[in-house]
Amino acid sequence: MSEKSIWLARHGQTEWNKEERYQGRKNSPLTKAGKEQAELVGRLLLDKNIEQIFVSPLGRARETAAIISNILGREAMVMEELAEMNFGLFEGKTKSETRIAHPDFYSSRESSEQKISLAYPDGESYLDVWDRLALPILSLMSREGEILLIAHNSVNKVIRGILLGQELKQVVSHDQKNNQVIQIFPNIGEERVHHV
Amino acid sequence: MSKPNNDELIKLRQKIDKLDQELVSLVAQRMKLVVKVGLYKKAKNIPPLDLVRWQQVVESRRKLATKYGLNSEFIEEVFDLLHEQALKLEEGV
Repeated sequence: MSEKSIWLARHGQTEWNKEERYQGRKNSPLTKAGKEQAELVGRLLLDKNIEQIFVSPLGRARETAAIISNILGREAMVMEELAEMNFGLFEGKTKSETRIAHPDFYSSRESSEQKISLAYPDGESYLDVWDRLALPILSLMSREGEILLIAHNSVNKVIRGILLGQELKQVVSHDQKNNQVIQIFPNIGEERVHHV
Repeated sequence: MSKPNNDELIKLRQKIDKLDQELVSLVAQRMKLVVKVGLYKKAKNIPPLDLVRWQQVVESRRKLATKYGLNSEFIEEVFDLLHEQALKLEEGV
């Protein structure tokens, strides 16, 4: 019998991804490349016996999920907790704009401990995200069958940490690209990264 | 006993629905605490299953059941299920 896995996808590339803008709770539509990435993810998963799909409530993730669901012939269920980390005042702004507007924020999060505990101005910290995700993600582990989660870069880092039993400071520096799907085997604490 | 008319039945069911919502919310709150306990135990290398604590929980919940006019065996079964899920969560942390 093969080991149960949970598949972790990120939404396809968006307009704001291209412009390197913080998205968080705000939305930006998928680009043409983003839609193609979603289609490739769907095709990759076609023979993987995905039984349940959960998606973030945010538009870019639902847009991605609609494409994947169509290929897999399974409806995606919205899971509110999968919403991206709230970046507060940073949302809609580019990294260079936020570096100029909030230099103190950047200088206060140099160590990995600070990086996980310091909340974005008017937003969330990684610890806040862990707090809202731990129960629903751990509860998924006792469900039968292969599960696909379609969410976002920052929440996916936290989900990886929870499923792999790793501390947040070990996972927050690993970005997931829009064209990567991470297959996690929670029972043995291993993962495999697929590129589409 | 007179049979409740539809209006009464609807009201009673609405009350049950409201209580069920609170019940599920309370179970979720309980499980969130379980996750925190799991984290603590992991950090201190304490195994998830603590039989002494579990016996205390069962005994006290059975007494509570009797106090509220419930079948204590039924409540023990409910807590067995909660405990089973709690152990899975703690093991997963």
